[in-house]
Amino acid sequence: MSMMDNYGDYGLAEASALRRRQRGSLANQAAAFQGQKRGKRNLEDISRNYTEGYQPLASSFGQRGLGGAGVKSGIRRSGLSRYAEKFQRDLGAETQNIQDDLNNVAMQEADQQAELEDYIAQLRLQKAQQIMATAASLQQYASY
Amino acid sequence: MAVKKKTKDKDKDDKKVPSLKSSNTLGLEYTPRSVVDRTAKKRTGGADAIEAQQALGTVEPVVADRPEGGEPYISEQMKLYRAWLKKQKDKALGGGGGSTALTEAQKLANQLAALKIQAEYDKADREAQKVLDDREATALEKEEAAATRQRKFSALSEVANIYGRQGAETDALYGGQLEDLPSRQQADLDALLQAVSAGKETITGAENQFLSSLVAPQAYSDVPLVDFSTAQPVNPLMGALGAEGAGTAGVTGQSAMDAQLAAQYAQLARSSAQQLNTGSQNYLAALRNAGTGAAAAGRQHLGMGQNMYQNQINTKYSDLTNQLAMQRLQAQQEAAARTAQAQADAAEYGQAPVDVPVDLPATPPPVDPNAAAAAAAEAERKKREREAAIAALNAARRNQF
Repeated sequence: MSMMDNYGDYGLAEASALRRRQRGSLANQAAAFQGQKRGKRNLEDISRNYTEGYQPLASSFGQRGLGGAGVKSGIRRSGLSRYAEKFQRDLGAETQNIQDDLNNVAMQEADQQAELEDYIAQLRLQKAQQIMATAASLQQYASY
Repeated sequence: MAVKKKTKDKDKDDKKVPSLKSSNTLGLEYTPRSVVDRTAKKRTGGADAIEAQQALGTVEPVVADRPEGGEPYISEQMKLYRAWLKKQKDKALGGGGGSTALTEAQKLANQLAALKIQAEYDKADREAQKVLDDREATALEKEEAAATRQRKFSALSEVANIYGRQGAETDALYGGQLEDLPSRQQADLDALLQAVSAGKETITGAENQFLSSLVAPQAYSDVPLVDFSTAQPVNPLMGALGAEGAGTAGVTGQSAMDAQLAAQYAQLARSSAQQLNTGSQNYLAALRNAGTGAAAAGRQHLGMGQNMYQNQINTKYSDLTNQLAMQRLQAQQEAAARTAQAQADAAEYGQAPVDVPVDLPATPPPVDPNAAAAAAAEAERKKREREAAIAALNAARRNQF
């Protein structure tokens, strides 16, 4: 890394890093928003699909004489239980997907922030080291 | 007979040589002794006496007829002698009333003597003129030599003064520099100390600025993790299914498992964030240590540099002082040597009387009157012997015919 890459560039490297970080943060926010939006939509789709599938399922039991007014067969009850469990599993899987997406974006945001802080700290360390080295060199007395 | 007696008296007067015995310092011109010996050996006839007297008396036998006052270096006795010598010369040349009874041999001898006298006369004249010329030239040379000597003395004295002033100026020049060196050295040391102090302040400032810029990492400390374990979705369809006789055990079990999975994943994420946060804290500590260590190293380097440059500055000024002192000494010695040389050269042309060596005639030795008298007696004796020999020769010739 040359001098122009750190303090000798009068803060350009730091400013550039901050700007990259801002762009990355915006991208993360957008990803989180999109993930949340996508998960919500998926949940809605799942709910809608299972809601819309309930009537055909119940009708199928009625057509076979396994359901209806005053009829509570075990097959129908078991079928509905599996339907409800499957519905719950799909909801849980999609909920977990949303959580994972959001947490991944959060960790990515944290990683980028940590990387930025480390880079800026390194720049400041190198700046301080070079200032110290220059001050300690006493270059004006090199002719002696 | 009377004429003969008169002639004899006249010859007697002519032979009377002015006495030179009155003084040892006659102021005569130089006549080498060898000349006296040589002339005595060559003496012949009547000219021998004259020649002998001439040789004993002076080398300028006829200079006496020169104008009075033109030869102040010739004494009165010498002038009398010259006059007598001139008279003898005239006599020998026949202008002085010589005897008509001279024999042929005497005439020849007289002519020879006259020629010798004439030669001596010319020689003496040339030598006298040479002495005059030499003295004139000597006077001019002395005058010019004195002027030249004065000019050289003045010039060399000025040179000596210049080198003397140069020595003083050199001393002042180097002295000023040498006097300035300690203050300049102290100024350099002060500047070094100030630079070191400024360096330390800069290092401390950079350290403080860096440490203050370090903030506790918050990236993983408050991660907005989602945990849906406690908020499982509830759908109205579930109520309807329950009302229609669907069992709740499976739904409850599935919901409980989903909640547990959600809680597990959420806990995993929180744990990860916690670990990452710990790593960030450790990294922050490492950065802080690096900054502090860099500052400590910088201060140490400054301390070492201060000692090193302080020694180098001291060494440099010590060397410079020695060099300047050596150069000043050399310059002073050179100026002193040149001053002394110029003074010595000037001393050779100093204020003492000028005595320029000129090729002057040697000082004539004092004439010994006794030796002159003995030489005259010897010349008289030889004269008589020669006359006797001539007479015998003539008698022999007459007997032969």
